[in-house]
Amino acid sequence: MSHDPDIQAIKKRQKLIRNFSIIAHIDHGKSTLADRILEHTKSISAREMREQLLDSMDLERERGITIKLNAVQIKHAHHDGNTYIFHLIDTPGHVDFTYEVSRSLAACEGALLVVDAAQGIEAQTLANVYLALDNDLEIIPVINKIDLPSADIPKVKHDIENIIGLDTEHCVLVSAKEGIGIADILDRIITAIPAPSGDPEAPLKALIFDSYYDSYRGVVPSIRVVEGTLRKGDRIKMMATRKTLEVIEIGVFTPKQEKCDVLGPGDVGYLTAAIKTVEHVRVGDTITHEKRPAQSPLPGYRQLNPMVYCGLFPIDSNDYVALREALERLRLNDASLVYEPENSRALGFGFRIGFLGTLHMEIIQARIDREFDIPLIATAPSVIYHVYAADGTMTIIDNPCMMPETQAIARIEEPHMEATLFTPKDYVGNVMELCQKKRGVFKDMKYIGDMRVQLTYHLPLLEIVYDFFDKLKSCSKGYASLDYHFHSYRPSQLVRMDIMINGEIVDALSLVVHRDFAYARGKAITEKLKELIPRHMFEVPIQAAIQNKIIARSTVKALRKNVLAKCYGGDITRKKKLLEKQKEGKKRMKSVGNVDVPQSAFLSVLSLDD
Amino acid sequence: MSTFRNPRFSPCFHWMIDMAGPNSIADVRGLYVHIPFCESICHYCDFVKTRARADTKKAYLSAVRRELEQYVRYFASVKTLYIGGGTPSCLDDAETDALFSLLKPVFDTADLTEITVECNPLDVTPAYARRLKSRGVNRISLGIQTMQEKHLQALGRKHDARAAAQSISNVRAAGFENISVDLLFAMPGETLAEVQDDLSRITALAPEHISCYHLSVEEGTRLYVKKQRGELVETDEDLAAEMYAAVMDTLAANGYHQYEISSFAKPGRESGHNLIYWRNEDYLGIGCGAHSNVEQRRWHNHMRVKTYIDALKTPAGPIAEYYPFEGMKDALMMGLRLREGVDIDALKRIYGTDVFKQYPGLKDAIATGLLTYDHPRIALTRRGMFLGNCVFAVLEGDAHD
Repeated sequence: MSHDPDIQAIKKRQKLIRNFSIIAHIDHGKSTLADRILEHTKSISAREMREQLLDSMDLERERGITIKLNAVQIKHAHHDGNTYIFHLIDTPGHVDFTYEVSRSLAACEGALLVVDAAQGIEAQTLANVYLALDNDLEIIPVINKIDLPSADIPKVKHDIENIIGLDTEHCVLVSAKEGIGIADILDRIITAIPAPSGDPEAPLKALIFDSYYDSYRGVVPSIRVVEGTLRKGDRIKMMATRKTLEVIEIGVFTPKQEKCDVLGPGDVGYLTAAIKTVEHVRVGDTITHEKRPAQSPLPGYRQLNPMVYCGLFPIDSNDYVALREALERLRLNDASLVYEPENSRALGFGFRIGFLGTLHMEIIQARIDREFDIPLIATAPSVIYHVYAADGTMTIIDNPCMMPETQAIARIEEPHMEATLFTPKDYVGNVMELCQKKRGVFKDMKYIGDMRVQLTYHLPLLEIVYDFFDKLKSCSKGYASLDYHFHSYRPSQLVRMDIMINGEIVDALSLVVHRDFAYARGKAITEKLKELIPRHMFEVPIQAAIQNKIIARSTVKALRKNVLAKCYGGDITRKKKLLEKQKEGKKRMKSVGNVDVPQSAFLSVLSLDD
Repeated sequence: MSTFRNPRFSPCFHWMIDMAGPNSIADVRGLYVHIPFCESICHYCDFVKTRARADTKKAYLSAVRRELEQYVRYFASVKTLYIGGGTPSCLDDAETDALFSLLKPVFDTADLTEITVECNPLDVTPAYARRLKSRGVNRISLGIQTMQEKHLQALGRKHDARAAAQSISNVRAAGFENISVDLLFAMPGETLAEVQDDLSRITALAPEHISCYHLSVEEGTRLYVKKQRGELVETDEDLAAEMYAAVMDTLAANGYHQYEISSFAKPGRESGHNLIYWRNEDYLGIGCGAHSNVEQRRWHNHMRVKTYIDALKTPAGPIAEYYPFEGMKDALMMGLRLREGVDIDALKRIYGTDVFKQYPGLKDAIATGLLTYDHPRIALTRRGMFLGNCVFAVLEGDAHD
């Protein structure tokens, strides 16, 4: 045991650290509660704090950082005479971001579970609670909005005990709006959530749970020290990427960045090391010292499987490099993003990308468009097929366009997943019906507690990536969850469907579909495209074809009238403006032969109502 | 032909210094005077207009006189005078007299062949018609719009079909031999049958000229607000095309020659004033919001009545903004609206460039049947009239891309 006074100080301080997150459904009062906690402990209003923060962040904004308020250090002078150090780590709201939630939780020992006293437990609460439980967190139930006339505290307590299985003996009753119960929460945090374990003298292990890019300081990882001690000037090593660096600065978020000299076990903060290469920092990685490194890294958290894939192509092929850089930057604070280069005859060079869900995909795509100013086209999702010729040779096809002609194919095999679905028992029927519709094969069903059911199905990955996740959520009011892993390749009656616009095959729209679904999907796609493709001076036929046989079609009628009715002396500028506007509209379109096809048309094929 | 000054516009400091000196050989053919006052605002109108008090109108006319006085040297070449609005006919007798009195220098200097006043049918009493005739007006343009009562109401027009017919008869009785009627089609919810009905009733009244416009919903109008709220039933594109075809065919069958996209006239009764715009000739606009095109300079006056009146009390004058004169592009944009089209040899002489070299897209327009080329004239075909913007789009940003 060391007698180093420095280490003693760190150990003493460590006992006073409490790291927690707040888990809540949207609108159940998470931000108000967080504000109240900040006000209570800091004695300044959250608004003042935000103003301070925004002032310092304007500068940062200019330097191109994406602002994230996700790890705040709060000092709380408790009535027992000690000053505790709380780290409040934020969890994002939406159901798509289970992965994000899980990595925030990995930095905590406990979580406040906030439930609206009138609304009760909702889907998202449940999903995140299970995550917290999976991470072995100490959960403190907090019932909020007790001031509402419709509050039903006994019922909510009952639900918490029975649906989640949490003891509510010590649950805290609060009204964030009225400021009631805040001190009780802080007391509970101190008593119920354990101080971080971890030996400040052990080899360093620090978890990277987030990061962002600052054009001046490079990549700035947010870290949680688990073992050992980190000081400014240390030489560190990233255990997964094996990169060694010298630490230039370390600090905490108050929420402004505040430098400090040492971070010990349980501390949450950031470091800078002039890291210019985005690939060197991987969220989930462990940081250790170059000399006296840790034997093994911290358990990374589970990589969640992407649910939806699509191809993203820049409308302007000159933007390819910019797109690649954008994806690198986005992956910095969104490690769930999975991507690799892809090539299309119609659209040129782009990427095939995996997302956690359609919201995730829409957000990434919108961010690329807006933050990086790269207009994009998306293509229909696909998986990897094994195609066997008559003589038994197998080819691996990952692009529908590369699918050979039917005569050359003896059989096609597609990947099947073993899917585990959790759902409240009320929705079991809906979920099973959905799996059946998606060519699923039932394997197992069992009850977890008396309210939850676990279903096991074998499902083709193709059906999972195309629209399954959204449908699962909507048939179960958001309560159901899905996890899957690869099981086997199985033969299926699959066909390649091509989409032709004005007689020309648009390879980016080609897709592989099960024969039984071909007509319905072809019809849905051709109808959707008809709405989205603008009228041209000639009729534009839209066709879905399998092996040159048209199975569905629609037509965009020819434009019959497009002329400015009035044009006298003063109208000439108005006319020029109108024409210029029409011309601008065309810029966001991709030409397929003579036809101008808007971005939305390519995106639309990703989400169709069957 | 005018001398060519640098077409780049410059901000206006001293209004008069900037204009051509006494040696100018500008050839202003038309004079437009704007009367921005109305009794009520129609739901589709985005022209410069306002309901106003008597003292404002008086101040306005004084300002107009002051502006007009600055342009005396241009009057000699003027052939057409057009008093538009707003509703010029909403001026009372004293105000009308004041207007014509300030226009006296124009009448005295110019050899006017066409003097037009825009009128609301309700204002055209026999007395009013006679008054205008006595002042030398020889053409009346009536804002009839439609004979369908329910559409008149929906557009905020105050007259009815009977009043419309009566106004034409009053104008005839006063001795006018050149009457123009404005008609709209593709009003919200209008049927093809209603369009046919309007056409037969108007042709029965036999005006010399008909301007027939596809209604467009412009920003700043009540119809636009309705549209934003999702309360407007806009006419289906294809139905609008049928309507336009019906307009063309019915008017042709009744002796009207379509000489411009929206303009139909009995032989020899084309609007002389409007032809000046379409043939890209020089014209002067007086009054608030009025546009001018003189010696390759284009400008417009301040839009708001008060700003216009105040501006004329200062040396800065009424010009709000100059905007680009784009020679060949303008000539084509405007000229191709005419059935007669444009003479490309003339353009080559004036601007020194080959039209097809400058705008290769025009060749595509010919290939797709939107334009005919009968050397040296290019002109819109019938289909080209329907799809005119597809041709004009070629002129917008196509040059040497």
